[in-house]
Amino acid sequence: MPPKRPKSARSSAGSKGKGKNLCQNPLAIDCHLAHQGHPDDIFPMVLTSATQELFGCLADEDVTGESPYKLLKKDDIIQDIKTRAAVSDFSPVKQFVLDYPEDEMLLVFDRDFTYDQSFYLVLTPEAKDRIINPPEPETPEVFEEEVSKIPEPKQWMHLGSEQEIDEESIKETRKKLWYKFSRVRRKFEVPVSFSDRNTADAEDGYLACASYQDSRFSIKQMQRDCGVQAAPTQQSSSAQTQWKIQRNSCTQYVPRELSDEERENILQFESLKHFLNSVTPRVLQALQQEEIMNVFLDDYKALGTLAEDGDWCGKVSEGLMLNQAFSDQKYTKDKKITSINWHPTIYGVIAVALTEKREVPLNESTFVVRPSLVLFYSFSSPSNPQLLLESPDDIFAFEFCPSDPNIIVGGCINGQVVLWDISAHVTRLQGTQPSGKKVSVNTDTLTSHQDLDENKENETPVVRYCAASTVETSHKARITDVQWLPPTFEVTRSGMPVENKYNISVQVVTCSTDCSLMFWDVRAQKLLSQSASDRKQNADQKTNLTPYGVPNTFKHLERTWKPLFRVSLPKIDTSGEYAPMKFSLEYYTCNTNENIDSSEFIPDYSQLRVPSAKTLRTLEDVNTKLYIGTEDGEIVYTDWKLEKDDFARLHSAKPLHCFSTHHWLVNTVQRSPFFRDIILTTGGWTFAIWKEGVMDGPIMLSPNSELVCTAGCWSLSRPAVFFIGKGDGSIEVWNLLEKTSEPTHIYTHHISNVKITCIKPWTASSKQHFLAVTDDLGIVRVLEIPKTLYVPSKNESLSVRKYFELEEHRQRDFLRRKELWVTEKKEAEELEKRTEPGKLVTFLNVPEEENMKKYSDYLMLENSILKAFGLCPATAGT
Amino acid sequence: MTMEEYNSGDEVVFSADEASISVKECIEGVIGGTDYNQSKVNQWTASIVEHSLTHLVKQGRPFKYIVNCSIMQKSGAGLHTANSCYWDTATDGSCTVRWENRTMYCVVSVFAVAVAL
Repeated sequence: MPPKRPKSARSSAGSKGKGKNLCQNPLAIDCHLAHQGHPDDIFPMVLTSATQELFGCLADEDVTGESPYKLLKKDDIIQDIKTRAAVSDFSPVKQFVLDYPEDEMLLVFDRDFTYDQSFYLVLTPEAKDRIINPPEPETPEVFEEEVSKIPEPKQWMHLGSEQEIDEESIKETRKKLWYKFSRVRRKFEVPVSFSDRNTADAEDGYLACASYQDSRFSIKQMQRDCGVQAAPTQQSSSAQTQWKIQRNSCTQYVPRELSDEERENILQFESLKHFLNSVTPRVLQALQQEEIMNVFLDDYKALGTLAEDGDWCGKVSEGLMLNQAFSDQKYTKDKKITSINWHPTIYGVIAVALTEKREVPLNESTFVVRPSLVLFYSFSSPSNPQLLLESPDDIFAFEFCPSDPNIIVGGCINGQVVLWDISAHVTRLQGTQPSGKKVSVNTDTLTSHQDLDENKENETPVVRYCAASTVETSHKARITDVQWLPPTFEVTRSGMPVENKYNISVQVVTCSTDCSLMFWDVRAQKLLSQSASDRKQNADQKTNLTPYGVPNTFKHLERTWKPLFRVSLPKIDTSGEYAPMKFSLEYYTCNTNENIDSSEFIPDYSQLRVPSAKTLRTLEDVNTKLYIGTEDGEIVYTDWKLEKDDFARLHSAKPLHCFSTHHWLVNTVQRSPFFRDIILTTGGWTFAIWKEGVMDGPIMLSPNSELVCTAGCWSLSRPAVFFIGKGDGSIEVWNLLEKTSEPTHIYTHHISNVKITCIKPWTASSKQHFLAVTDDLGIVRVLEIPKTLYVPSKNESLSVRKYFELEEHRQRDFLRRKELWVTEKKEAEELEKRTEPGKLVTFLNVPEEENMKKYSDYLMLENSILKAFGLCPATAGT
Repeated sequence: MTMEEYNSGDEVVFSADEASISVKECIEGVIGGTDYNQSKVNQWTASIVEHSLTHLVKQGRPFKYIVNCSIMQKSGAGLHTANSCYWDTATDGSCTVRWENRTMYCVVSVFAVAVAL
């Protein structure tokens, strides 16, 4: 029975299941079909909820998806089958349950309906075991084994790709072919024709890189062996004399003289005495006559030669010929010459002062300082200066001392006065004379300098200034003129002219644009306490030099040189002062001077002392008046003697006369060397000649010329001739006896292109007269004055003096007449005024109306014209 | 280099101008802008010759080339060279290039001899 039950259970369950399935599940048929799909040892079944309760396997409560296994007792199942028979869910499996060997049967909750029912019963214990136990422990073991093993490379087993590879690979379809070419060697050669290609044939066959002297690669041979043998200079020469029969011969004569006895005899002769007595008076007369006049001179012939020389009217004179031109590029670049002087004793030496052309203010720091120099040129070397004098600043004027030409005084642009002593270099200057004259010089001053001179022959020596005035006491503006006082008188501190005991020039007058003149003394002030030892020392130090190589001559003036006194130039009419450019003193010749030394005496300036004023006698007859040319073109005639005013103080007098004749600054005021009272002044476009004493004006005034007159000087040999230099570089020669309204000659071409700054004539010898001309470029030209211009005509000075007197008279006349004219004119005007009023009344009315009408007509016309032009007057009027 | 690049059909003539241009470029490339340097001169001559030769051969003409290069320092000395050849003047040619700068002279001569095929 038990086996039946399971079967029946099964079948009934199956049928029930089927039936239920048919009702509940359309897949019941499938389930029946699927009955064969499940394994044989399990049996899917459906359990009702009652059965589930009974067996304690409620779905989702007792048995779940996670624990789907429920062990059921076999006995319980049998019991259930018995009790509920066909209704039991287990009826299909009744048989199996009865056959089941074990006591418990596994019931698995098939949640997922794997076998299409919610439960299935496991029918065999082996299956039960299998389901419950074995699978779990097996799986972890398998995993562990796989992890510990490293996969070993296995033989590749193709899975069919071998074929594809075979298809793609390249295989030789046929065997490779192999060819061999060959040709007979001689058949390779193309017919050739070789020919020569020389270097000349192709253009690049020959290539040259020329050698040249390269300074980088020249090796200077510093040492060279060479043999020297001293051998006497030998010279072989032969001579052959004509051998004639030689004979010595000589002659000697002895004047035959009468013996003493014979002389005595002859003298005793009567006839001789008689003869002598008779002849003597005639002889005496003849001798006397010869003394009186030269009988053998043919006056007519002499007249002829003189006339030929003086026949300058007809002959075209060559004029001023250029003798030499001096310039030195090194020193004269960009400089102009302000002053020139000939050396008074040495032939052919000129000194020029150079100044900078550009007016640069002194406190500019970027100004390149160039040494201010005075150059000495000599005829023998026109392009190298012989000597350079150095000064603290540019020199505007300088002068040689008339007593000692080795002393030179100069005035600077900053107002200082400087002194030079060139006695050390005099031999150098003299040695370069073209004629080779040597003048004896003081050897004791030169003993120490001779070596220096010889060594420095190639260099131009530079002489520094010996002394310079102190800046505080000097002029405040540039010094424009410097002159030595003549050796005939000197001046004291108070401005009194006194006699000059030593008869040497020791004082200097300077004028400057700070409107003053200053008088300076180059001697040392009298030392109060001078012991004998000091004197001795001074004597020893005569030839010593200061550290700069400067002679000691004026050491006493160092840092203490002050002017004696100062003359200011107040203006005549207005306040203010004149600024002098040049001045001219009268040269005072003193006749009563006992100490006239010969010109050989050169004074030693370092030993001079200023004598006290009381010991000297005042000279009353010195002409203390001077002519001054000012910056504004005026000529001022003033007295430099200081006056005492009401308070007994010394001050400068007002000038006596002032004439503004020139339009510009006056650049020359010079006295004629022949007439003491004739003065030439140039400035602006004119020049003028003055006579001292004539207070009305210049006795001759030149007509205005087109060019500026920049320099002027008298000729040294002809009283009527003077030279004027112009601003365009030409020189005019005036001869007052020929023409007075225009120059006799004008030399333009070969003189210069730029303005002439100075002219100075000089007489070198009786045949050589030079004119030194300097210009703005720093070039000095020495022109030779032709004979026509230096040989004076007969009685020239007399003629000139007459001419000047004539001019004076003329001027006086003119002035008188002018006054007359003025008075006449005044009278005439007064007359007119008196007579006019009567006539005026009648004329007034009628013409006035007419005039007004005419005027209004005119205005309308003007307006119409302006409108036509389109220029209507803006101002309202009409 | 394949056979086709040889102009076997045309007349083969050496063009001196082309060669001189390319040689000049080579020289410029090696020593242009440099001053004479005794340690480098060997290197320079070698590279000039090499480069010039390479450029010439690249033209692909059937020629045998001989390239000669001289570098002389400018020191005031003179240099004179000359060459003469015995060849087929129709097909062969040479060219000499002279180059100088402030410190040296460089003279390169190229001789091209046609290869008969």
